[in-house]
Amino acid sequence: MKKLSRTASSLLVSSLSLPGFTELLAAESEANNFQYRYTLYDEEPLPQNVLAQGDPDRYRIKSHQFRFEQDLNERFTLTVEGIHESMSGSSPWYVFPDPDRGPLQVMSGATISETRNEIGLTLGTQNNGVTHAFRGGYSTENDYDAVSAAYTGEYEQQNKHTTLSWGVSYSDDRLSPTDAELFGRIPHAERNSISASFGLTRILNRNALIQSGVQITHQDGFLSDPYKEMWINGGVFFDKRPDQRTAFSWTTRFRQYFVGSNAALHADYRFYDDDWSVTAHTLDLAWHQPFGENFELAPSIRYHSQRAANFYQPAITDGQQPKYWSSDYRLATYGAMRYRLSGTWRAEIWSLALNADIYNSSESLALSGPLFDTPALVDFWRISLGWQISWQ
Amino acid sequence: MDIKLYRQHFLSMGCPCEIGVFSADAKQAESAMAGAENEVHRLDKKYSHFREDSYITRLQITARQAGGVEVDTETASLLDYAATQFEISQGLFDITAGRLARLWHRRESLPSDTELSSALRLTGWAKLQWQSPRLSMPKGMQLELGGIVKEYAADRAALLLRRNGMHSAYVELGGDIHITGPRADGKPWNMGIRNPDQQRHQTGTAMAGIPVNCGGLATSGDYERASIIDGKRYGHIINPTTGWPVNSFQCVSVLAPSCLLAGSLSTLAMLMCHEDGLNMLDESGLTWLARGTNGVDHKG
Repeated sequence: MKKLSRTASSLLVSSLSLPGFTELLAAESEANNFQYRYTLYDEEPLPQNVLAQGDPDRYRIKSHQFRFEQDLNERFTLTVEGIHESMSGSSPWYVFPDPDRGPLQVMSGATISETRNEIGLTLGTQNNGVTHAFRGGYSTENDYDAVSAAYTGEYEQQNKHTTLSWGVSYSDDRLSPTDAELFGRIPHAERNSISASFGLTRILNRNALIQSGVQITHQDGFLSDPYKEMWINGGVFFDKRPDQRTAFSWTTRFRQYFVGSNAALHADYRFYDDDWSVTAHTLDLAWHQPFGENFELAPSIRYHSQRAANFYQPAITDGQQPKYWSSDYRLATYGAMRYRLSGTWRAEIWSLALNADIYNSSESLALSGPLFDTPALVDFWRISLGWQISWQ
Repeated sequence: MDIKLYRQHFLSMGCPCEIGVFSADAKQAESAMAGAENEVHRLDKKYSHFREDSYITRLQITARQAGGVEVDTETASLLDYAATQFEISQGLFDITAGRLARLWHRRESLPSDTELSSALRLTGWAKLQWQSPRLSMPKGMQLELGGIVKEYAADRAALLLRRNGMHSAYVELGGDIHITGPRADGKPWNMGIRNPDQQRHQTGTAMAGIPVNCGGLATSGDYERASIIDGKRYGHIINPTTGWPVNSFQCVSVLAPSCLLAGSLSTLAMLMCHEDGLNMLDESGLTWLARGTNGVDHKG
């Protein structure tokens, strides 16, 4: 089908609030499609003034993603997704408390180079207005394998403009860190995670909708990072975290369409809290502005603030060795800004999307939480090019 | 198991209706068709202007009283849709033209100027108050949901067929069609569009056949429910600004993702002047067919 005119699409969008029409039109839209996305992610090198030793060049990830969706028959839809990623660069090991220069970051010496492959299969079906999706996935890299299974369901209430969604997922992960013997790392470890979610979408009026959902995740097993270490009273010890973690998150998304400017505001907020005392707030604002029939620009800004885990410290110099410890910057108190510009071009059955991100993080951007100097906090840029074709 | 085409005919919404499904199971097919037929009857009963006990008739009586009335969710969505129709058509598609529709219904002589101006005074979306879910209408105004409800009913009936596993089926309500998916052999349905030159209820060759895999197909034309006055044909689609039946096309058919959208666009084209109508259809991005009053066919 060719792109609809503004007249036709205004009527089509307006009809979506009629009972059952979202289901009716979604079922008859272009169900079969193929998407490919290439992403280049590049972390800024660690500044020399905070580098103790090792290679300052951090991660660079190239990722190829594809997704293929096809109706198998009248009832079932199969989705196949795949990712091939190659990573190179060095990663932070531990923080050295230099008495003169303050906390300095020790990086891995040799450049790490590895690849990750993931495949996911989803079988979707509809019955009496309820959509069910069953997903199985497998991810492998030279030191990590994960098998996952998930189920999600969705039900649109008749006449009430409300959609309920729910889901459960399970993942079984096995770690076999590289050079375990050489560095004394744990040779094999396991962890698993189970999560449940529930969400609700409500059409507020013909130009606005709100979506809200909660998720609970429980992780169990070896949850430490086998490559991370910590300076404790003059010695260097491997990262040691609790072997259980329960996290709660609440996400609310709001969409408002403005008829006059033919544009849409997307405002998303996420609250996160876990029993490691990590609390985080994320606010994402995006403005989707079409230009003409085929092109859309969407600038967006995202703010994230996180409170540190209760066992996080960059280093311990004169204290008792605690029960758990980690100097992983991802568990620190920090705040981050992400600026994104997305451009999408659509023509008939094709679409092309380009995203560019700039991300900066620092301790001073955090709303609250115990503050430490965390030299490994990362800045990065990311560019991503996607291509899609749809057919009936 | 043999896959067969099961068909069911019935009368509703003041016109002959038909449902067809390809199925391997006669019982399932019949139960799905019964569910779809019930949905059409439900909407006919709820929105018929010809029934004194219909929801819409009673609603209008209360809406004309001070303070108006709170409408149910389904009706609120239909009124929201009508508001969009009014907005995008710059006032040409106006469901408040009920008085005009009744004025021109099966006439034998032209209405007088007084009758016309009196009906026009009670027409105009801007004259009613709609703040979902509350509707308030001036005394004497009448709603005309004829251009929405039949198409909406075809879509709803098709949705129920689909929910019951009928992915190779069609619903036709007096020329307004929704198809849930291709025929059992994977081929599109060939849907005929009635030739406007033929008399009412006269069977014969179709004006054109459109292959349809899925979606809605609607035709608006002056051959249905027309009045012949002094040998001249006056259709049932009335321009709400002039009060006179439109005269730009003999008929317009549109194929769209839903029958409601198809019907809205075909009626909108009929309401526009010939050239604007053709431009609007041409830009729509949909498949369409229009026959001008001079008998010349256009398509896109």
